[in-house]
Amino acid sequence: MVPLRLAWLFTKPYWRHYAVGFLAILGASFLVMFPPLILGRAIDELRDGASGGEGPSTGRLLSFGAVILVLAAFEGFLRFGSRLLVSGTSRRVEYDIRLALAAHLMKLDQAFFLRSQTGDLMARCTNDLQMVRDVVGPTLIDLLRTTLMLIFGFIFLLTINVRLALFAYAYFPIVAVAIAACSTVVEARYRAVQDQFGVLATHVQENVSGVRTVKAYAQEDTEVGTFERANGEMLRRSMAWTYWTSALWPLMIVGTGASSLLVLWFGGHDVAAGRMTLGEFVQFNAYLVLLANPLTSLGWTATALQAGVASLRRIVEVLGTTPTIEGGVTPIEAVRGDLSFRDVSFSYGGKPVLDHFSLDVPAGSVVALVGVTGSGKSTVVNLLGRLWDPEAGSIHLDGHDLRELPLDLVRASVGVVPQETFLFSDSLRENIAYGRAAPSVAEMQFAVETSQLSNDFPQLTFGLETIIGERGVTLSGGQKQRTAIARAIIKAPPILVLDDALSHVDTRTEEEILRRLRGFMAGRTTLLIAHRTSTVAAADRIVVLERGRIVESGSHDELLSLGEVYARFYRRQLLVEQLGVDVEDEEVTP
Amino acid sequence: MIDDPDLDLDHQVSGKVYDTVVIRRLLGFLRPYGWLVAGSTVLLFVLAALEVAGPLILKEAIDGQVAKEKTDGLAGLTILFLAVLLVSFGLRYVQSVLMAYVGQRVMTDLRMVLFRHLQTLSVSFFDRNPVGRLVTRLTNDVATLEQLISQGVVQILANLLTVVAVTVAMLILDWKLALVLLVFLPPLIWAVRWFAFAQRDGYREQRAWLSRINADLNENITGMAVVQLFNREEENLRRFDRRNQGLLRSNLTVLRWYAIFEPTVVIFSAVTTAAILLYGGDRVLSGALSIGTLVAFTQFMQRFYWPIRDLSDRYTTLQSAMASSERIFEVLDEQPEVRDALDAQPLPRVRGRIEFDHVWFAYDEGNWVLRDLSFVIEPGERVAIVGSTGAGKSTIIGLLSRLYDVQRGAIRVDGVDIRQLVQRDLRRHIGVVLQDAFLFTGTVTENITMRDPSISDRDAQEAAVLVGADQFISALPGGFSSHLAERGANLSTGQKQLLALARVAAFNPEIVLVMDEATASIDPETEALLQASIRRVTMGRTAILIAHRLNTIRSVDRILVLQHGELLESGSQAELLAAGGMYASLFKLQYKGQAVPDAGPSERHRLPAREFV
Repeated sequence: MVPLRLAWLFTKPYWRHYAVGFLAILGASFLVMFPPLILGRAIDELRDGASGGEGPSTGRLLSFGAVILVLAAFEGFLRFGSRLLVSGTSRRVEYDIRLALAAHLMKLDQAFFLRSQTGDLMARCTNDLQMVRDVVGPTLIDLLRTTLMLIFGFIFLLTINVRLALFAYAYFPIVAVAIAACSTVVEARYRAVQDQFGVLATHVQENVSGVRTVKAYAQEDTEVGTFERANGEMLRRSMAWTYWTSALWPLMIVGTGASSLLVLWFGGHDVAAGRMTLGEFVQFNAYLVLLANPLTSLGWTATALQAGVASLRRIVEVLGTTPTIEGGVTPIEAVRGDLSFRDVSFSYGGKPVLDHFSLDVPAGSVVALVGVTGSGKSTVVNLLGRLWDPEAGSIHLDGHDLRELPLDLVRASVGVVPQETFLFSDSLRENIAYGRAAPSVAEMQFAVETSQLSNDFPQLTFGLETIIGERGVTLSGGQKQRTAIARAIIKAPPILVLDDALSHVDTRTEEEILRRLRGFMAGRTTLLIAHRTSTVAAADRIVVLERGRIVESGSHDELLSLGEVYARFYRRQLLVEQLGVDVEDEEVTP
Repeated sequence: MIDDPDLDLDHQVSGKVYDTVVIRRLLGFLRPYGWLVAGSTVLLFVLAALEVAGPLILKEAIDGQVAKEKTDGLAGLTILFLAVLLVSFGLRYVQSVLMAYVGQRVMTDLRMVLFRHLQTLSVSFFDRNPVGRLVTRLTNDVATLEQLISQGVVQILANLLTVVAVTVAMLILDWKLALVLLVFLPPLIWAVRWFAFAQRDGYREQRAWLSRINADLNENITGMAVVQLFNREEENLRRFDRRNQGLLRSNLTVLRWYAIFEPTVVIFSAVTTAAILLYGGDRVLSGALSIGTLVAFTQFMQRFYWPIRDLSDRYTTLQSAMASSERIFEVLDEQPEVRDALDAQPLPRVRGRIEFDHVWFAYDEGNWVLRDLSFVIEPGERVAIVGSTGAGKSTIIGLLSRLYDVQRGAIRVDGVDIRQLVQRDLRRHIGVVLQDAFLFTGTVTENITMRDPSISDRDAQEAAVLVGADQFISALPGGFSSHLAERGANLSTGQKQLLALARVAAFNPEIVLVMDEATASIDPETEALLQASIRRVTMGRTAILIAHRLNTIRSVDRILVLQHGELLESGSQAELLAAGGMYASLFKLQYKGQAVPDAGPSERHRLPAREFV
């Protein structure tokens, strides 16, 4: 029962709250047993009075009423306390778990995020969490109250009339057996509903992801038809399930009603025969009414409990995932930026991406990586930032294996401009200063000018304060990339990585950015991944990758005169860049 | 009230438990089941009346039998009680099933309406909304809503009716005693309303925090690589925690009201019980009231207050259901941007003449992708469009199939502005082969026919043979009836493209648009196969090819050279070479340096997702 242990882990810090809350519920459930007792006493006395005996005085009636009020005041206070304590604590537990989830997600590796779907993770952090919170809060209160009231009720009934008490509780085993008998059927039908739910979700998912294809083929009607059938099946299955579950609640009511029935019949005879007073009879009935409501809500409680446990399990799955990337402890005083890839291999989904890749990048040099899509260039970047770890071989920074260095040090040393820009819905300023808290005005100025983002300010109403992203202005692809460049620059890292970082920037701006970057790159190690040969031409060394292996390496001129892969690549690039046209190599004549 | 800068209530959901507009729209979905709802309501009335029977029978048993130490009539009362029990069990079951049925039907309808509506929305809507969000609308949000119908509304109605029935029964039984109790009703109602009011702001704030938290989480999850690369884990967690704390605060505020509600009802209940004992007891002693009536009244009290207590627990259910409805209606209110004109014409036959007439287009305001683009393609003509990334090649395909509408100028097919045509008619005559061939879970045949009933399995197989996809299909374990995994995950890229081509061949359109930019992961053999397929599929049709292979490009009738959304050159390969323009100069450059055998497929630029059609 790992989920339950986890639930305990999160509730343990509050065990005092829970303990006091439980005591309050215990007290309230106990106090609730007394008003029927007083009522019974009053009825007996009233009956005496009504039938000519000495009835209760007004003062006595008043004191009955007063006791009931005082009891209620205590009960109310205890209930208030228990709700505040237990439900309040459940909110705190919810807060704790949410924070733990967020903190854990921050630690998890990219492999995890690749495996999981954002929507599903979100569901776990929201819906599932709510379910769990309800279980450790209101549901717990309900469950405890019902149990305690049933126990106390039974004890009080026994003190009045043992035989009648047993009759009153006789339906319990019957109902329990009935529910147990149905549960397999109900469960099977519920599973069928859940399965169909999955089918519907998948259909919608596919329809929405493939909307362009659906539209292009004008297949909206067919799609609607398919969905309609799946939807109809969902209705059928839901109803098959409902026919059973709908009986549960009425059954509980009938159960409690049946015990009233027995009490009416046998109790009535007992009173007539003088074995029991009328007051006791009334008291007995009062208890049955008192117990009826919590009992009928037991069905709800059970459902909530089940759902809560299922949800907890889903949360545990996330929290139980161990991050595969963890930092080391060896500190470096000042990072120079010497990089060395030693025999690094990495595969993705069974396909080798990097194959015994070895490369030395001396501090301060500029190395360009060139190769077709899938040749492993971006993987080099991801390994460098320790988003992934190599499967074999190692990467060294200033002579230390990356895995031995503190994670934040490694990442602080590398400023990456990723292939796909991800910006946050915040101000432009916050996005640029993402990797550096409170940069100076001059630093900000330098970053936006180097990245040529300053050119866009006239377009942005609030300049640096413009909110971008989902809640604000949508930037163009080029603007996004330039923001990402500014973000990397302001971080002032010893190692700069540009992963196809200028693909959406027009050639003229690209040249300007590169020109301005040159000063920034002096004294920093730079890893440059680009498609445009113009971008990589100035690098100290160009490394050509093919299927995860280095096939050529040298300066632009060296490689051109070599006349092999890079040279071919270079010529082809000219065509591709201008026309988007590619050539087959067999093709010689126009 | 709220001074946190993180929390903006501007575009928040209202947080009301009962938003009349939303409720009215929901009721609209109940209308088709009006009779069932009416029947269920009638049953609720009967059930509420039967609720009253228990205490009344008890009263009769006490006054008529037990108190007089008689038992001769007890059997009759017991049987009556049994009858009431059985009847109410039956009715309750029928009522539950009825309402559950209505709830399920409404959900089914709602899903259908949502799904249908999604089919009418334009591609730009899907550009804006992540897939996950839309799936949630159709699944979880609809499910939450079911609770509102089958549990929330019905339960509240049942509770209300019970309160009314009990009140009526008490008034009939002994109106004086009943009036003493009813004195406490107005303050109780006032208290309930006050609580609801006091909670509302709290709930509103709660929802606002929650939606900020969700947005924050979503952003962090999707951008986790950047978060980690920039060592922002701690800072982001701190920000997240601020919001988390905000939510906790507002949760605890709401909780105070929730916690105080039940005790209040408990005390009200005790006060009335005390009043019954005091005033009723006095009257019993004076012989004006029977003991049985007094007992019945104490039982009525329980039945009176329980539903009111129950209300506070239903509140949360109602809350989330209202939020879900709001989100659902938000999607339903979304208007398609590309719409059929009211007087849209059907398009029975197409010859295939395409005309771009001074077309201007931008995805974002002012960011022109196409500028004043004009060209004509004659029926049966095969045209290749070349140009660098961002030149607007793929946009042309999106516009021609009317996934987006042009801002200025017009696109005409056979001389008719495509905005004057029924969208689906237009698309039925245009076959598009997308860069990223989209396959769905289903058999190979279903993926070729798109489950279109007008295309037979035979057509699908013939189409597959035509494009040469039959070879790999017959090698699959189940042939044409093999099941494909989600997104065709069990096929190679080349195989997926072959299937997409077979799809076009099966639909047999007059106009074919092919997006065929290079992909790295296609082996040379499949490459050759694909090329032959493209040639066969486009033969004899008006075709626009966005191709990357010079071979393919050379085989067309005409080449259009595009730059920055403008038409730079146009003509056959020979003409363009003779003209000595950009195409020619680059071509010569390439020609000069040829002599190198063997090369991997070319590197491509990444296009922004929406540029793919």
